Amino acid sequence: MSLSSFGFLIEEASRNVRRNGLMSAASITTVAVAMAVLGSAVFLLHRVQQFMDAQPRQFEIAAFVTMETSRSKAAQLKAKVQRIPGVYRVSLVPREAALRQMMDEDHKAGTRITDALVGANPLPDRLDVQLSDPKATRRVAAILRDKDKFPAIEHVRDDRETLDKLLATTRLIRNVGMAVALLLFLATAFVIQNTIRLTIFARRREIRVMQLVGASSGFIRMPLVIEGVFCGLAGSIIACGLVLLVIRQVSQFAGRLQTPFAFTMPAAMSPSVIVGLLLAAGAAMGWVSSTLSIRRYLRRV
Amino acid sequence: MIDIQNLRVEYDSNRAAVADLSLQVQSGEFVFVIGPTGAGKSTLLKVLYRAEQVTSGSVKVDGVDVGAMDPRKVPELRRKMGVVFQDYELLPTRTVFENVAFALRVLGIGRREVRRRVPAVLEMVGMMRRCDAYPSQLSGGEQQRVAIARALVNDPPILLADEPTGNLDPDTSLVIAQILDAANKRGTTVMVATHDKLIVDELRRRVVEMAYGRKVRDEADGVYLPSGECAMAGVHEPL
Repeated sequence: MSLSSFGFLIEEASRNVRRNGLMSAASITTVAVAMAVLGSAVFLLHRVQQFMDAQPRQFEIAAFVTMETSRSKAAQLKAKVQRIPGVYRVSLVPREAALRQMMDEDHKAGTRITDALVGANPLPDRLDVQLSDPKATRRVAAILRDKDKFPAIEHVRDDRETLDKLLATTRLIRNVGMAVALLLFLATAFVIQNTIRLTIFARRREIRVMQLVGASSGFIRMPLVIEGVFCGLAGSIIACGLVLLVIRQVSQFAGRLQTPFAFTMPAAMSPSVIVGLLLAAGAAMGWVSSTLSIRRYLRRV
Repeated sequence: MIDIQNLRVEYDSNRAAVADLSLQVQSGEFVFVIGPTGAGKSTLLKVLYRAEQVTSGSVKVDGVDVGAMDPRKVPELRRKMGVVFQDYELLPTRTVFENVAFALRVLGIGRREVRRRVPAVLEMVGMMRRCDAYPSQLSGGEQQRVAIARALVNDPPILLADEPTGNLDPDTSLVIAQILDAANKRGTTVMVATHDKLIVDELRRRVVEMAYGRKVRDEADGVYLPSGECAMAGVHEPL
């Protein structure tokens, strides 16, 4: 295709957009809203998924060693626990470190509860047991609670129940989010299709003349496809702004969030990746929708 | 240039719009296809530019079988012919110049070539002085001249006109007939479907008369109705 033809096609497409200004604006806005919700949903889903993926490493069984146990005995105990099937990693948290951690959290939260200890350390040594499979929690916890096998372990805390609830909630959020995203994706595709359909109707005279004088079908379709891609891209650009705003808000919120689990959010997708994905998705959707619409509504003379 | 053998076109299975029609048109000929509304004139033209499917028989344009044509080849066929309609079919949002230029631009022809060819063809139909006007600012006859310019701008070997004077007064019809005649004299094969007695009798060219989808008369230098006899006598609606 020559440069001049390409220029002509772009010219025709922009002529369509300008002449059907209101309709184009409507479709761009709809695409923007849908893509913004879609983009935010996908981003949040991504975060939820990341959070869920991180859980087997995050949640662990805490086994508190009796006060009488010496540090070297505790180290032997650690090696023994490590051999239990389903255990990923065991780390020994000395009581001094546990106290320091507790005081840090206390001060960070702005309270002064630990000041009341005045130098005393009521905390025992602790074994943090990470599991290779979160489903093994209950079994491993039961073994650790067995006084015959582990007489030196006084108390075992597992976060199974809390973890179960948390995972169920995130799973629900993920599933609902995916359903909503899918619906929005379909709605967006439909809106673009409808816009192209209206354009075909508005341009039926031009299209008929093109067909009669023997314009190639590519030439007839190209301005319509360009228009579809334009609508998809323009909507996505607006959506990008909205999504980046949402991401900033969510990140700030997550930063302020105090949770009972000392988990750290894994690094999020970089904004440029999100922008790239949204633009690509918008363009692809515009292209596919307009192609479908052309196939359905473009009549041959 | 055009070779039609035993053409049959059906819109539904028991009613043929064109039946058992054979017709040869030589390159450079001027043919009027006449007959009352519903005789199959428009259908015949539509078959030639592949807007209508052939039910049976063969239709060849410039040696190419139109009936068996791959749909992807249709644009190629249509570049060989200009088509003119009763209602002009100009683009209302474009000027006279742009309307004619559009037909070239959609074929991928560049601006420079467009600027060279459009004024020449508009000059030929006498519309260059109105090149910046919009179709709504033109009379019917002027619009039809622009439509003819558009049909001829790509220099097609064949010009098809379907009732080109159907909406025009007698004087204007004659102007249009003369423009078609002039195009023919420069070598274009012209086929005009019409029931306009005036232009047929004025130009005195080959006349193919149709009735109920069949050819009932084919006469060189013909007139609209042969004196004293009815060409339709003895023809019955074919089923």
